[in-house]
Amino acid sequence: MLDRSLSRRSFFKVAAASAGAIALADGASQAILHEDAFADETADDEIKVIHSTCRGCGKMECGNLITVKNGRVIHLEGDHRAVASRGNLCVKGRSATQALYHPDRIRYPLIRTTPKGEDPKWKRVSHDEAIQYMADGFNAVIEKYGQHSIKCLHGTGRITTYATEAYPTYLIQTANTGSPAGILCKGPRLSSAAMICFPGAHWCNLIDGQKVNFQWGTNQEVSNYDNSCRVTVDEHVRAETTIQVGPRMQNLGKEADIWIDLRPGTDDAVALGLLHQAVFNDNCNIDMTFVKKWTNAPFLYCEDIEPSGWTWSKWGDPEGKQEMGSYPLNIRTRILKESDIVEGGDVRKMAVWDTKSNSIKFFDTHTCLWDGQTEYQYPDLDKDCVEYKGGILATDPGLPVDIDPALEGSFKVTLKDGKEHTVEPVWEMFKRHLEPWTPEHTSEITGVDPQKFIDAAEAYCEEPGKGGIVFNLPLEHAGNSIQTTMLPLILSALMNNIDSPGGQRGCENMFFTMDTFFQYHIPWANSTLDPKEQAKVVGGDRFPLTPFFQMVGGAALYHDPISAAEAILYDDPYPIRAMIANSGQHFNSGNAWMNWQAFETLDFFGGWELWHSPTIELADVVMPAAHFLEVSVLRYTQGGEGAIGAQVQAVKRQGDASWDSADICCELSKAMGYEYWPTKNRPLPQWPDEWMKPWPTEKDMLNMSVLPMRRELPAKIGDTVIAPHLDIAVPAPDGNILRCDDWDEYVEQYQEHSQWNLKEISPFGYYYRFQWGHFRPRDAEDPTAPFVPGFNTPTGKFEILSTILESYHGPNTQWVEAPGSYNGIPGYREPVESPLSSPELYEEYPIIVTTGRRNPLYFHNEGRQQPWLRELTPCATFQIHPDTAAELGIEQGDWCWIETKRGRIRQVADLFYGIRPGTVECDHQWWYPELSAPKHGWDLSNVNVLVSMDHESQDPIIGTCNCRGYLAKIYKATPENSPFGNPCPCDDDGTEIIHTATDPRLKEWLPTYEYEVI
Amino acid sequence: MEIQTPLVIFTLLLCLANGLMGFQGLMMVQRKGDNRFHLITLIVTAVVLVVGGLAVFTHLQHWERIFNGFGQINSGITHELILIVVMVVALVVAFVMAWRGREDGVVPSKAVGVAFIIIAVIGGFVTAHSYDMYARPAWNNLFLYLYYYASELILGAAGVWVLTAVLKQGDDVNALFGKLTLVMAVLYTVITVAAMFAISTIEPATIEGITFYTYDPTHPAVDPAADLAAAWSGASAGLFWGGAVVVGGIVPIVVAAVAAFRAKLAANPALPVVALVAALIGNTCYRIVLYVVGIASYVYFF
Amino acid sequence: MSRYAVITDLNRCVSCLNCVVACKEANEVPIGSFWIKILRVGPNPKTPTSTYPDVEMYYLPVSCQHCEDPACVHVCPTGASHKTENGSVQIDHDKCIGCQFCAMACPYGVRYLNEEQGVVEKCTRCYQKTNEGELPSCVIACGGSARFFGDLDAGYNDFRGRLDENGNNISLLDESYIKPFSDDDVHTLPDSGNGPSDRFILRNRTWR
Repeated sequence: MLDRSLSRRSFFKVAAASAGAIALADGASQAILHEDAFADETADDEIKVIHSTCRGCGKMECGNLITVKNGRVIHLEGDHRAVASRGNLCVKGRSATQALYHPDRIRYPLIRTTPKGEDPKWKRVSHDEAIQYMADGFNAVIEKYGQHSIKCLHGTGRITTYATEAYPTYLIQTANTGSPAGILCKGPRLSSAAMICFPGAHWCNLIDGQKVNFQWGTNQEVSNYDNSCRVTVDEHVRAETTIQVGPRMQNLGKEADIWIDLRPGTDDAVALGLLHQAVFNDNCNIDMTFVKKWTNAPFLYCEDIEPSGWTWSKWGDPEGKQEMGSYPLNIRTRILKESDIVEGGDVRKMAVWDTKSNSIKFFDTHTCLWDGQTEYQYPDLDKDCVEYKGGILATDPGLPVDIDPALEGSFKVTLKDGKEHTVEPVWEMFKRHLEPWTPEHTSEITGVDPQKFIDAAEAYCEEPGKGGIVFNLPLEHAGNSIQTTMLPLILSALMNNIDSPGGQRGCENMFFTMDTFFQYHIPWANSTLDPKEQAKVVGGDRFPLTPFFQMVGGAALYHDPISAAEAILYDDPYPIRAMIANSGQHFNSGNAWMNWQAFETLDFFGGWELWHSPTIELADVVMPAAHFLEVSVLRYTQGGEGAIGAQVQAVKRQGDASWDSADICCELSKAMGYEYWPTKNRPLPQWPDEWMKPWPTEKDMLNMSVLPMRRELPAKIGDTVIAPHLDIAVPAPDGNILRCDDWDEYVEQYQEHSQWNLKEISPFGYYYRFQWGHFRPRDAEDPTAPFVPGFNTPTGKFEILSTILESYHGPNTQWVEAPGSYNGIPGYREPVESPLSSPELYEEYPIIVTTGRRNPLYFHNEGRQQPWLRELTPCATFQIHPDTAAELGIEQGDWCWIETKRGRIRQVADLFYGIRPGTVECDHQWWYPELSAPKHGWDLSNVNVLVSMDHESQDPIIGTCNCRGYLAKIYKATPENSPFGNPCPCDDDGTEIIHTATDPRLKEWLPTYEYEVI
Repeated sequence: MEIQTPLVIFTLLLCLANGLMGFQGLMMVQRKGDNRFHLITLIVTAVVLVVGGLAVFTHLQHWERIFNGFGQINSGITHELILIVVMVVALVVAFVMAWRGREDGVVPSKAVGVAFIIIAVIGGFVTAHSYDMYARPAWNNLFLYLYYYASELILGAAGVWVLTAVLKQGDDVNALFGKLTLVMAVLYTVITVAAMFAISTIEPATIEGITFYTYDPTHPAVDPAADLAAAWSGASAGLFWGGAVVVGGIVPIVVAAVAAFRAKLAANPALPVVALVAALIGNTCYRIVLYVVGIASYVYFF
Repeated sequence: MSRYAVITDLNRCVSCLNCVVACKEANEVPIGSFWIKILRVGPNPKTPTSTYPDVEMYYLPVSCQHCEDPACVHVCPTGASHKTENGSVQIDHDKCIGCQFCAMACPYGVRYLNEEQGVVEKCTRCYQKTNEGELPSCVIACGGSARFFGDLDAGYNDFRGRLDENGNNISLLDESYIKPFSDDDVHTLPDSGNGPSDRFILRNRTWR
């Protein structure tokens, strides 16, 4: 590592010299009219093009082509053959070289030499020294304060792994694991969908096309999440009708046929308004087969009995067994069960009213069989199925027994207490719940023209199968995350768009690769925490479902950062004194100042990072992370596009940069004195012994990730012959199987073929996989275990009435009741700070703030130091209606203060007619790398300074902070009211931030090749 | 647009040189001025040209390629270069003529004088024409040409007056130039005021509702109407009214008026020097202001 | 002789900024200077009396128009700026003296002085690619598949865009990508007689 005393200018000179050399040598870069512009390339130049996958953002997985010349990446391009992305490569991917070769990248392990809160004055140390230092630091804290005193922090895993996410649970056995980013991004959607159908159902496979293209709180053309820009625009243009739900006119939404321009924080109201139309409007035609067969709408409900039930667990349904890898829930519901009707009856059998026989029939939620049904019904491959876009599409054969469950009406039933009770189908309750949401009422709450609800519903619900609804973050951010994210799913389900073509497909990885854990958590896999310990997760007292959500996996692995900050600051409910971080920020969740102040007090904080971000400047030790161009790993699309490929290391790692899974986590564990995992805490039982290599190397991990594809799989688990479903020799629908014996062969095939469509090569290349039993786990150790149709929920059905919600946040529980919910049917909650809920506050803070709009240049807080990106939007801006601006005396380009009860920031005004007067949108995640350590100007413009840490503002079920839809006041920044007499934000010494494309500091960030390894 | 200082200096000095040549030519035609006067005036004009030329060189990024400047015969700048060459040739011819005849007090011939006048007339047009582009609505009109002529005339008149006074060419000559300066100063004042008024009334292409990504978000520079009116009544009004009009026009008017009808005063070099300096300052201010209002017609890429 | 041009379907352009960065990379454009910029036009009220939410918006990629009768070529004293056979306007960097009059003369302001090299630069229609039969970077990189490159003299049929999964360039007339458009929907940047080459398709919105 170069001596830290070398000034920036020296780096620049070196960089300029080499950049200049490149420019001169690379004749093509000059716009000179020379015919032999490429004459500089000699026969000795080695140029290769690597087919890889981009990691510029949170997992769209755009296939890319990396041009490497003499060991240096010189160009990135989209791969047009990539089935999920169609050649898409956004600006973040295109400018990856500016990150890979950035002068300021952390390339060597560093230990701080000053107290936290000051410029760390990092001291470079060796890799081994840093690992030992970290191990000692964590061990000291755990010894003194116990296993839960260490918490996790990470963002979106830019270094391609989530090792930090699972590793602390797995090895260190802390319940405070996962990513606080998860609680606020995708985690609620994963969790709420897991409660009622399957996690990740919000993701749609847009590549199939849709008849109605529905963008709800999403802007995939800019965010590429999780549909690429190319695909999003293609399918938007091809759709018959397009609908956008959002408070701003958006990049693609400007073309939408119907723009539901809601008040921020009222997505739940919009959903209820649309559901009302779906149910009551004659022009809407719900798929009644789906409703009767696959949802719990026909289940009878009795309000005047005691809730009762059983202990249910998501993985393997062990009937109350406290098994590792699963978290048991106490389901207590007033759905009518056999056990309510007769003494000793089966608590798992749920009642419907069969109008054919005018009697009660039961559905066994354990076996998922109806009364009289002896074997499972699957669609007939010949009669019911067609091939469609690589997958098998089946028409539903209808109910497997000759009954017609009632959806309406009320019935009198004599229960075991001898008395007659009135029961009604859940659907009746659902209708009653929706009745008040007329267009007029919905309009009052949301501010949208009432006719739009009718138009949108009539378009989407004209007939079943118009396509899924893509809904993303905003629904999670207004204090009602769980319920709001259930509602669009229900709407989609009523129209039979669950796992339909273009419908809610979820994440493919659940069903094919099984190596989810290897890819993201190699090999830290699954939580093996004793459920009793898991329940000690911070915030678990207020959010009892947290340990269950952590089992759902992916981004649902989190803990509440507000509760964590309180634990750090006040030792409440117990001390958290250490933190392990993988590029996480203190300003991504919760209140930024509260987090910063908390982290400043930690006894020990270690992490790994690419950049000197503000948060890591509070750490005791930081390891250099490898850039994605320096790492190989298996990749598949997180979202519904369903493709698999590989990220292939393009260049050697610079400095001491490490891939955390292999280099850091393994070594850290050894240094902390842990034995390797198979010895004590076994992960999912179906992993064969051979796979449990002690302390795998990086190569081992890569090979492990493609083990399911091997031509000959290990035959046994202990003495048991391997279960057939583990041998992915179950042919894919058309017989194609992806096969390779090791990582290198996989990569070779990938270079040839580019991305594979999982529907074509996967054994589960079906639509409507709930018909085939692919959504429920099978007993791994029983080869004869059947595939059980249905959903992996307590009732086995798509739950319009969520029994988990009813059990934990219903009227009869010890925890906070889900606001607006009706016995577990999700409802509406007004944001805690709004004109309706807090009119007095509104008088002093008359502006509604939303935030988080996507800018194509930046992935959250990334990219601020990359010149090609920073020059295009050099500083934080906010969008405000010109009338509101005029009232406040604000003009285009003015720096303005945006202030809430929590604090204030400055951003630049952008007058925008496409947002409601009185509402503003403030850019998020801003910090200014050009300013000094440790803060790098994070507090100047960062919108999470404004976020509330009040318990009341959090979503009552999961705890997500209220980071969109709150109240503020805005006023112009003047020399009188600004520090240094300068409206423009400055460093502590008065240096202004970069706010123009011509700022010379941008050029200091151009690539340097002095660290490259050829 | 951004003010190009070297070009301001260049065109200012070019106008001065053109003006000097024009009025010197007039004197040649009228057989006025003595040999010494003409020699010195020729030298002064040449020096002005050289200084102006050096100014251009500081503007050019590749001055060593200056001879490429004759590459495209239709270009206004090429015409300017040719003009300068022609001016130099004429100056040399006249100089040789005067030098050879210095013993005899030879004044360059009438023909040379006429040539000088013709060059000055063409020069005004050529200099203006190189800036006449439809991309800049403030420049793309008759007033550009009127101004360059007015500039040439006031600078030339005042310039020659300085020389006639310093070199003691006689009361009537000085009075003549005092009057000429007065007339030119009035002309200049009227034209500059009329020009800026006209420019301020130009209706710019609408940019309503257009926002830009690649700019400094804190300084969105879009208000073409205000930019066009900047000199008349906006941010640059002080520079225009104070500098270009009052200093550049009114002061020479006053000075010349005083001298025009008092032959004795007209012969006092102080007056013409004040007039010339004021005119130089005023014309510089005007040219600067011309850049300020010289916004692009379509504000797409600023 | 041909008239190379870029046609952009503005109803597909979503301001993803791919073209800006792809161009910058391919042509080593200095930081702070640009060969293409994306303007946001609006949102504007649909009619003079409309208010939110009756507003409309589109994005406009602006770059050198490689005009038919370019003002920049007229004023160039060295002939460095010249119009080529294929219709593009190029700058010969060996001849340019950096006088910057072309930059003043361009009605769209797309030219700028490259201070390091002392010559004026602008979009070159990626001649280094089009000479090899490839498409300009901004066209290939376009996220919204909105940009097409071809010869106006050969008609819309000649215009090609990004690659499809088989490696073929999509066509401007392929209705599975580009919805039908009428002549009224086709616009150019304001024309003062210079004849800008690029065309912009904008449906159901007021061109501003």
